[in-house]
Amino acid sequence: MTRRIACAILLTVWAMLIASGVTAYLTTRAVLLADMDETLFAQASALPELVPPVNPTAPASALAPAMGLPAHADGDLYVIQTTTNGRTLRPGAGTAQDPRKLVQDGPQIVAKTFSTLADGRRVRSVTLKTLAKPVEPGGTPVPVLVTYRGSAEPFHHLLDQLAWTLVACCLAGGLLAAAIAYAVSYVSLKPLRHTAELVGAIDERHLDRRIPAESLPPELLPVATRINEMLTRLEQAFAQRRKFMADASHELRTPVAALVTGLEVSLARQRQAEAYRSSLASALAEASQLRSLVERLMEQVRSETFSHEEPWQSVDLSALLDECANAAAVLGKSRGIEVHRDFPAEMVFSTQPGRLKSVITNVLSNAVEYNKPQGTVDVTASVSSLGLELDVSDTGQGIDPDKLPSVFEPFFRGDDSHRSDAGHLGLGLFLVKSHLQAMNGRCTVESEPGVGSTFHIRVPPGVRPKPAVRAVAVKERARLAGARQ
Amino acid sequence: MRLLVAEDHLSLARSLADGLREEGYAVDLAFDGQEAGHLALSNPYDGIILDIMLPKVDGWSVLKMIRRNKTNMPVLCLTARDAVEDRVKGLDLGADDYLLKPFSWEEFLARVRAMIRRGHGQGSSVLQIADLEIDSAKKSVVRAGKSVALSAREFSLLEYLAHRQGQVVSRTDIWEHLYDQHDETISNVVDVYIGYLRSKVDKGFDVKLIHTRRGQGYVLGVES
Repeated sequence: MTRRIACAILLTVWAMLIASGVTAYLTTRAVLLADMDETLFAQASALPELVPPVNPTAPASALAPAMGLPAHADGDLYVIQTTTNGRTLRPGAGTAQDPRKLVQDGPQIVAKTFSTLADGRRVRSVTLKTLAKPVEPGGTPVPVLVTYRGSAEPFHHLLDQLAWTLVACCLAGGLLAAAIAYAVSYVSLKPLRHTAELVGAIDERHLDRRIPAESLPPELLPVATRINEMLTRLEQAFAQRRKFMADASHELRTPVAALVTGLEVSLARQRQAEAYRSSLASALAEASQLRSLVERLMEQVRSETFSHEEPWQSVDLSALLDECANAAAVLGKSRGIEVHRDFPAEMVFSTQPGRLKSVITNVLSNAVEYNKPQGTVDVTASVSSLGLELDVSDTGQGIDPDKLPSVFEPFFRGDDSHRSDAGHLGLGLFLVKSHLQAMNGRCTVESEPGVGSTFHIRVPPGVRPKPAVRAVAVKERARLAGARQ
Repeated sequence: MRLLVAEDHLSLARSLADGLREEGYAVDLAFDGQEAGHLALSNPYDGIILDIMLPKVDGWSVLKMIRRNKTNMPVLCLTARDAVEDRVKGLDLGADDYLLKPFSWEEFLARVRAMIRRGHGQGSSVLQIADLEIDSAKKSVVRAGKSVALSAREFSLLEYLAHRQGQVVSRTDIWEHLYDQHDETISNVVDVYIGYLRSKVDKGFDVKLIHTRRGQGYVLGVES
C-alpha cells in the first residue's frame, strides 16, 4: 500500500511537473522570441534610413562601414537586400508593390527564421519589407527587403538551461514527493502494522486482549473498535463454551463415578448371583442415564454446529402440535395431568421442522414434569404475518423469581437437585433456547411460584409456503387428526 | 470406624456405603447438605466423605460448619469439579483431602484409611502394641509373629482400640464408632465382641493386651 501510494504520488507529481514545465518552457520561449524579434525588428527598421546610394549588389558586409555601423556589432550580422526598380533581389521574396502603400503601412515583417551559420552559430533572421529613404534630398524612396540577423545564441542558451532545469526539477520533485509520500504513509501505517501484530497474537487463550484504541489514529479507530467488539463477542462465546464444557464434564463425572464405583464394589468380593444381578441392574440404570445425557449433549452440539443444515419447509403446524401434545399427554397420564389444546386446525408454517419439534417437545415435557398431580398444561398457538406465537402454561410449582433469569442456562434445574433419579438433566430449556436462536426466534417465561409458569415462544416466519405443499400439509393434518380420535 | 457419606447421587451413595460397610466401616448416609451438617454435629465420626455439590446446603458450607464446631473431624471432599481453584478452596476451608470423581475404589479406600489415621494422629498404616501388629491397609493382625484371623467387625473394634491405645475407651464410645445409626441396638454387643477379640488375640499369651476397667470401659495396651 505504501509503495502504491508512493507510485501514485510519483506519477501524479511527474504529470503535473511535466505539464507545468512544458507550459513554462513554451511561454518563456514565446516571450523571449517575441522580445528578440522586437529588438531585431527595431534594429532592422532603423537600417533603411541609413541606406546610402551604393551599389546594390555590394556584399552586405560592405554596407556596414558605409552606414557607419560596426561590421559585427555584438556578433550580429545584418544584410540589406536592396532593389532599385521595385523588384526584390532575393528570388521569391515578394513582388513589386506600390511604394506609397509600403510607406502607409510601415515596415512589414515578411519572414522570421532560425538558421545556423557555417561556423555553427545559431542566428535569428527577421526580413522586413520597407522603404529605404534616399540619402540625397528629393530622391524616391526605394522599397527594400531588409533581413536583419541577430545572434540567437543567448536565446537558445537560456532556453536550453531552462529545459534542463525543468527536467531536473521534474525528476527530483517527483522522486522527492514519492519519497515523502512513502515515508509519511509508512509512518502513518505503523499503528496498522502494530495492530496487525496485536491481532495476530490473539488466539483462544488470549481472547481478553484488546487493541488499545487511544494510541490509534482516528482513521483506524472504527476498525479497531469493530475488532474489539468482535473479540468481546468471541470471548463471551468461548467463556460460554468453556462453562458448558466444564458443566458437561461435571455432569458426566458423577454418573461415571457411580457406575465405576458400583461395579468396583460389586467385584471386590465373591457374591451371590442375586447381588450381581442387582449391581448390574443399577449399573444399567446409571449407564442409561449417561446415555441420555450424552444424547442431549450431542443434540446440543449439533444444534449449534449445524445451525443452518436443516432445510426450511412448510409444515402443518397443527399436526405437529397435536403430535407433541399427544406425547406430553402420555407422559402426564400417570399423574392425571391433562393437556388442553387451543389452536386452529390447518395452521401452516414455514420452518425447520426438526428444530421446532424439539422446541415444542422440550417445553411440553417440562410443563408436564414440573406440574403437580391432576394439573393441566395449556397449549395455545396462532400463526400470523408476525410468525408463530406459541404459549405453553402449566399449573406446576413455578420458578423462584431469583432463578428465573437462569432457567435457559445449561444444567439448570428448578428443584436444585442433582440426584440421578430426578431424571432432569437441565438441558431441555437450554436446547430450546439454542434451537430458537438458530431460527431467529425467542422464548420468554413468566412464572408465579406455587401457581405455574407460562413459556411464550415466538418464531418469525420463514419462506412462504407453496400451495402444493400446503395441500399436502392439510392432508397430513387430516390424517393425524383422525389418529387423534 | 464410623464414617459419614454425604452424597446426593443416590446410586453412588449406595455403592460407597455398601463398599465401605463390607470393609468393616459403620456408615451413615446423608443426601443433602442440611442432613450432612446435622449428622456430623450429632455423631462422633472418624471421617466424613463430603460431596461438594449438595442440594439445600452445599459442601463448602457443611465443611465450614464442621470446622467451626468440631475442628479435628477429618473430611475427604469428593467432587466432580476439577478446577484448581475449587481444590484450593476446599483445602483452605479445612478439607483433609480432595478426590475427583470418578475415582478408583482402591484409591478411595486408601485415602479413607489415611484420613482416619490422620484423625487419630497416626502416621503409618501399621499399629504396633507390644508384640501385636495391626495393618489397617491389609486388614491383617499378627500376634507374636502368628497371623490372627478376625472378622471385619472384630478388626474394626481392635483397630479402634489400637488407635486409642493406653486410653480407657467407654462402651458408648465403642458403640458409636462401630455402628451406624441404623444398626440394631443390643445392650451387650460391645462386651460380646470384646469377648471374641480376647479369645483370638490374648488367649494363650502371658501378657494380656485387652483389659477391662469396671464401670469405665476397656483399655488396649500392656498393663504396667
